[in-house]
Amino acid sequence: MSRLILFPAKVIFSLMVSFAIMALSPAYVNAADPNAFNRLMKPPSDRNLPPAKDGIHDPESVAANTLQPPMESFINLPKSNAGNYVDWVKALESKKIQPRYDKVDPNAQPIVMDLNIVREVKGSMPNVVYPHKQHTEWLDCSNCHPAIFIPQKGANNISMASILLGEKCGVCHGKVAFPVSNCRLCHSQPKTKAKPAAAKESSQAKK
Amino acid sequence: MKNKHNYRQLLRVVVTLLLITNVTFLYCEISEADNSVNDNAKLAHSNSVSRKIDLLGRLVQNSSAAARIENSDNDDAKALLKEARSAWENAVIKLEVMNIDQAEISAREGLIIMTRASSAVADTARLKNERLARYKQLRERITSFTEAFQRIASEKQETISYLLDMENIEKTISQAEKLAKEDNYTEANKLLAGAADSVEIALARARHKETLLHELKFNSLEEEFAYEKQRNHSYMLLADLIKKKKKVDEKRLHEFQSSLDENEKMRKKADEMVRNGDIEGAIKVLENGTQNLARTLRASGVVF
Amino acid sequence: MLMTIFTPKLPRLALLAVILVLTFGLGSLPVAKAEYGDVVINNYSDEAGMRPVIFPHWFHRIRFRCKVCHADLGFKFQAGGNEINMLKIIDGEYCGACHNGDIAWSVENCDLCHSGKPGTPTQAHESTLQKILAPTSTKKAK
Repeated sequence: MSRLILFPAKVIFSLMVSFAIMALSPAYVNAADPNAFNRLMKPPSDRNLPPAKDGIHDPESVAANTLQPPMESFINLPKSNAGNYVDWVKALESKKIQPRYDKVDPNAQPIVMDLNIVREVKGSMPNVVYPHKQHTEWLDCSNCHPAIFIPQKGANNISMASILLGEKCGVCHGKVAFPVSNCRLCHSQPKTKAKPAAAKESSQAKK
Repeated sequence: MKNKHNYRQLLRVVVTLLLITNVTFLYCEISEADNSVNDNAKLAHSNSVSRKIDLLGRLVQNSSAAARIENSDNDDAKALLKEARSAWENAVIKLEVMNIDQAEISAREGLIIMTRASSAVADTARLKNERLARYKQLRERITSFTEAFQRIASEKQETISYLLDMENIEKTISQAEKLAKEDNYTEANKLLAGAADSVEIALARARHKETLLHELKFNSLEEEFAYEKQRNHSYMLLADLIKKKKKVDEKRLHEFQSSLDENEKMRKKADEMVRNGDIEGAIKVLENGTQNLARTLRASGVVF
Repeated sequence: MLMTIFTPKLPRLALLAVILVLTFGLGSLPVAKAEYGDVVINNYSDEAGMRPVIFPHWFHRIRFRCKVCHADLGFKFQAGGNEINMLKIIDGEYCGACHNGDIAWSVENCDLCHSGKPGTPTQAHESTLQKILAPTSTKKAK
């Protein structure tokens, strides 16, 4: 008798499990539920899709199944919330990736300049701290100076609009480096601490 | 008892049916996808092979690389070019008889050989220009870096001149100049690269762990006004681009346009105020204008 | 009674769950945008009848720092802003500086680079500007 009740109970339970899997699967949340949280945000299932499904590679080309799916590569890298969803700076610092600084010499080291530039901004947004250290690990001086940024105080007029238009910081950020969706990554120095001496300490503490 | 038995039987049947339909469905999807992929893939494949062969043909016949190889003394390279040409002819024949796979193999071989041949014969003219450009670039780099270093040295309280051996740098530059006169740019560039690195290291050491504060302090009100005007202009450019390219719906478009017109008015007003001598007021007007424009942009979906 | 559900008959249970998931769970994921930072280069590809090139920054970033391509090899910071063609590549310029059979595979693998959907315009895919100018829709794109 109890076996009679148990078996259908198991069936019902498995039904519940499978529906739960469906319901919790983010792809279905967005497709089905108009009141879903973060409806327009790209759900994890839509991120880092393999070439055959990413909307830009031709799925009928040989490449679609030969090229490495990004997820395979990103699975062991530190995560972030935008762009590739990978924190590339952290990946480099923790030596998870070891990109060459020279085309042929795998042991060449960059000359890193550890200099912070604090730009005061109008309005109530925190001041921007620009760290040369993280940038000079990847780039050469000539990449930015003087073509994009004149290395002189007051010589560069940067506004959010110009960044969104793809000028100044927007030459890379918002195109190949992390996008400007997380304000605090750059606007990181609250205005109350805007004294140069204090700025020095806080810049050492930051990053 | 019998009910129980039937019930269970029914369940088993249902489960089996589900299993069968799922497996069939999966199989069909895979094989259907497979079939359509197969047909498309065959066509795509033969197209891509014929493009490959076209490229190889262009490269081995009338490219500048082929001309360069033929005009050189390098017999090995000439032999490779000949091999590449025969690989191409082979590929063309195989393609004509629809032996796509063999055609592709020949085409690939041809391309690999052609690349080897091309790299065996250096494009001396281009390389010379590159070396010369690099020489000039390095000279300029050393100059601007040393200027920057000297600027920093004069700004600072404590002396940092020990960080950079200027004598050595100048010696290196004159050595490089001598080599350049003898047309030996390769060696000259090596020396200059070393010198450039030394100056860069000195700069990095001079500014190690420092923070430079770029305050919003202007030398004059006119400067601040120019700054604000340029800032406002950048928002205008963004707004123009959005108006042109983004599909904003009619009602929003109307609001958007009126906001842009309002901004134009503010700009003119600010200019007038400057003419009347009230620069501070003009700056405030521009600041407000920019803020309003930014608000409109945010309302139209630009997130910042 | 709930506890008794977790019996040694769990494998059968799991099978049932799998079957049901397959029954109701099959369906294609909504197609989303490509990898951030992929640069589509379609200067000459469409005319030549080839698929446009898709350059994946992420893959190269793992192996080389920005300086190697953008300072040493002369690539400009602009999608489509470098006059690259197959001849230059074979001569060892631009992409050919590494894709020459020595550092990386060579030009015989056409489709690994020319992998984009035909007609895709030159762009830095998923750039902020592209997203700003995209029509805001409540439906999933494509």
